[in-house]
Amino acid sequence: MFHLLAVAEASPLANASFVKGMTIAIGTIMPALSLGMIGSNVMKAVGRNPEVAGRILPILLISAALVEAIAIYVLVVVFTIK
Amino acid sequence: MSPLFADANVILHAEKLFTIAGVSVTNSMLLGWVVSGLLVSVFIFASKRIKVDASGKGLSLLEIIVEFITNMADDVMHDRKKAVKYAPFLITLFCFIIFNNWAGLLPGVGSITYHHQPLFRAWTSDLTGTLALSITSIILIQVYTIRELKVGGYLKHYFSDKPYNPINLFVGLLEVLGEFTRIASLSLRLFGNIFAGEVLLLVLSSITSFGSPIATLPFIFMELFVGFIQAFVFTTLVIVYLTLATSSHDEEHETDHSTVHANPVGQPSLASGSQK
Repeated sequence: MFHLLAVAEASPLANASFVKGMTIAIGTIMPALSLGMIGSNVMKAVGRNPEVAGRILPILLISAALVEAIAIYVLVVVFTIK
Repeated sequence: MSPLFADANVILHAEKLFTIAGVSVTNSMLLGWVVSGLLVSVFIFASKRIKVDASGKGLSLLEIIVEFITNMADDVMHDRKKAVKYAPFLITLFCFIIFNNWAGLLPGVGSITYHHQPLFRAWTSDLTGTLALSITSIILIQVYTIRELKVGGYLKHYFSDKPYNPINLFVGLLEVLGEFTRIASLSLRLFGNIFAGEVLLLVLSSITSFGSPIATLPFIFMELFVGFIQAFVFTTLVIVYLTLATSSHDEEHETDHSTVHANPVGQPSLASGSQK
């Protein structure tokens, strides 16, 4: 455990900008996928039943905002990395 | 757009301006006071001249906001009386959040400095502000629940009828923990979205130095939209939490609250189908 930490400190990868980049890169994978799923399912629903478009819109916005919040948590963490 | 970058570092906390009797006043607090003072005066002014037929354009704008929030609560609660009862709290919440979000986009916010610190900063782009807002909302929800269901019903809501069953006890403790998770998620979502928006505008205007008025324009419109969406989401989630808390388990079988219970994440409008 401790020698792993020592390796991590000695490694050139342990600088802040690399960690920041990797955090945002890995952290936004799942939110991006989920946003795509929301969008595609809304398109399917509207394509099948175009008159519900107006009623789906607020639900779409709420779920998109909830998913986006996860990416925002990652962004806040990235800002706090020194 | 505030100069949140100082020496290429983003400042997460609001800057301290001065102290009044030992309490430090930050720039985000200052803008929050300005916005809330304006809101209070506008609403007091409007309430003095309410008429049956809306005459002024400003008055009908306020009416649209009030109707919008009340209908939103009605869609989730399926109870017009209850929606009207809690509407003042929800309308205050919505207006306060949305105008604070938009106030951060005004020219002069961040660029006017006082002792080398920006004088104003959007109230919602500081975590302490949004944390205070979400703690207040959650505590108010508990108060409303106790008022509606009495202390017995309130405890029953967490620990069900048989609290000595270890499973019920554990589930109840998890529910209590869930209230703290709600506080964290509500405050972080609002703060993160608005703060990230400000940083985005700042980065864009710094990389496109002279073209920044053109380059940031679409993003400013996007930020206006994000500000509305975040206020909408915050209010909707508070409505959902309020509905979940204040609906007692006895009346649940008569009305359609069971669908709300099945989706605690905030999709109750699936069942109700809000009008837009």
